Amino acid sequence: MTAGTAARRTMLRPETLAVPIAGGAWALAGLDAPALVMFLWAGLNAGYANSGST
Amino acid sequence: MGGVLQALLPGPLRPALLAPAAAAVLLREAGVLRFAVPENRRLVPEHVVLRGPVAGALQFGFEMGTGMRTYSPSALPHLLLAALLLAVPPAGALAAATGFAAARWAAAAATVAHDGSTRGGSWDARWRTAHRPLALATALATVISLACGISGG
Repeated sequence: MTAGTAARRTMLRPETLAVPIAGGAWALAGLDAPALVMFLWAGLNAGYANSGST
Repeated sequence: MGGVLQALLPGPLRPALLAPAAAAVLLREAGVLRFAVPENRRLVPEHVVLRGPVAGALQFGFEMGTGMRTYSPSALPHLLLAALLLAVPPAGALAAATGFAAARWAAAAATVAHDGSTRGGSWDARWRTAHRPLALATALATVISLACGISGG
């Protein structure tokens, strides 16, 4: 496996992808983001949490 | 549908119904509480995919994405649905649905890109290993997002 492939696989791990998805909610809350953005992020997290079934 | 329910239920009652549901889901995702959530425990049959790259993919995506024929390993979609019915305005419901669909697509795309095939064995195995922290992190993020959206909307 090349270094590039290994790096790509690391970035695509479920726990790596969860960092911006779950962490983003806290960042957006801290930034007082508009309500629509918060609802979008709620959907993003609910959808990602349900992805164990894909 | 959410608009109708929100018009019928008194304002203070809606958060009073939603808050305990959010608490229960948080505890479930943390592994403290155990209770089943409604799910249609069936897989989309193979013949659907064989209907073609467009019609088959669309039907498969619709059935799995909407939960018509799939398993639900998380209670967060149910909490989101409760929030859409009780407290989220129509535009917010569209935003939440967009986010939900984007995450479902992202997870499927990541599975293929990570494993190099659609079988998803390695990605799924990593997910199962990290299931509890992933469930708790996304549950907290969903609840904080909904709370901020509802209080700021």
